[in-house]
Amino acid sequence: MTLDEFLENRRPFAVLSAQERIRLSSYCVRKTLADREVLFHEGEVGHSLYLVTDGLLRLDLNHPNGTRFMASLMPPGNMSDHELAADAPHPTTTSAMGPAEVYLVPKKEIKALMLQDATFMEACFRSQDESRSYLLSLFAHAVALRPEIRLARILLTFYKLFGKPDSTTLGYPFSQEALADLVASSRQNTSKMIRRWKQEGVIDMHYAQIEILDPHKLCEIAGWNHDRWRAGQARRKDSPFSRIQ
Amino acid sequence: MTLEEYLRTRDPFLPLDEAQRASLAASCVRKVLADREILFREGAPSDSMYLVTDGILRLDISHPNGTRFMLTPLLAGMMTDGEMAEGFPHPVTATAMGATTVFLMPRARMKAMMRENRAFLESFLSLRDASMRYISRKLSSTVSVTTETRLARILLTFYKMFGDPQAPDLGYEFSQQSLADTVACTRQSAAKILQSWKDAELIDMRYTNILVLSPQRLCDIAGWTYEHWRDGRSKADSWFARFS
Repeated sequence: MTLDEFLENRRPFAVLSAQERIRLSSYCVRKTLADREVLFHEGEVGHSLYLVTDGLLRLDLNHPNGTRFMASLMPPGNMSDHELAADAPHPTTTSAMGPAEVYLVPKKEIKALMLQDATFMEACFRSQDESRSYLLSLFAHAVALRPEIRLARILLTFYKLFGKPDSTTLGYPFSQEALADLVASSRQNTSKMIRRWKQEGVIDMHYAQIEILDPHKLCEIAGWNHDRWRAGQARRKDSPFSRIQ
Repeated sequence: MTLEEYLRTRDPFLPLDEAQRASLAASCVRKVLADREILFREGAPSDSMYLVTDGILRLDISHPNGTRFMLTPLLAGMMTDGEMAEGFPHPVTATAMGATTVFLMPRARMKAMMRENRAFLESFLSLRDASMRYISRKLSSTVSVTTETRLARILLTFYKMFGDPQAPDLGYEFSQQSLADTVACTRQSAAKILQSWKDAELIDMRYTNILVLSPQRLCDIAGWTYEHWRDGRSKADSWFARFS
């Protein structure tokens, strides 16, 4: 996706006039990221919004127990967190999964446009509201889920994103430590889960290579319907897919 | 607290001048809620922002297992943070705890004011970003905390808000079902936790009256430092984080 396509088709920019879009895109700075490169760390103050035009970004929250866990994924066409205040630190750490391309849009220019164009202001508030509502629903769903269910959902999500339908390979390497970080659990607990799943023939794992041997069973653990998962129909709120579609 | 005091002393309204504050105040509608009365329900569309000037509102999120859980209490001087788009549905349910007064401020008027006063826009965005960070932090600290820990934190929070430090009475009535609803677990699980605490003489509970017998040990279960809790010094993951 090009920057022009992003601004033309995606909220909140789609409501801008052609002229406003051209002006805004002239302020944007392109940045390419290598696999696992960090775009920004939680707590750092940012002066830009980040538009993903290629690749996949993952957003992690620091956890008080010293691990992190994955809050969300952002494929092309998505925008990072919508933090617009000049002094707002990033609420998440964001890094690339595979090579990715983002554009940095200065917050200052977005706010100048909001003040100029009431429709754009409304569109910005709407996409902020949506992002907030998404975060709250993630929260509600995560609260009573065991790490096992969360891990199953995350593996299924990655398998869908990186794997090939006719292969069992997940398509992206994860160490056990990295898997533990996805769900804010300890490495010990995670390796216990993995061992059990291996014994039951649900997955296989050699070093960082993960094979999904039985997606049906993994869907059962995740509490998802296999057919809907396979068809990519997300439940509206509780999967990281809900943002991807 | 009066509406005028609220607008004069609280974010995001600080950057407004006298005339702008008066004009916003004139657009507000006052609403008085009885104990446990619902102000709005999750999913209902709205065109207002809600400013709490007296009492306490609690915000709950529905949980897919049919229960709800408490996201945060809002005290006088706080507002339901943030939906600003016209008609955007509430992501939470808001209920009064005790008699509560709120003022409804039309979102459209606020946005018009933001276009008039750039500093007000910035101040609003800053408050909203802080609220998003609060939710993110809450999310990350809640995710791997057990139901027991959450329930201990909630009881300690309510005891601080409604109780008298000299008496063990929590100061607000809760049934087992409604306690279960604050932490998104079943009534059976909540009853089991409460029974084990009764056996250990941490709390006592008769019908809906709860006595906190050992706040020290409840703090241990909550993972909080007793002295911090007593003095109202917050950790980032407590509800107090918003009160200070």
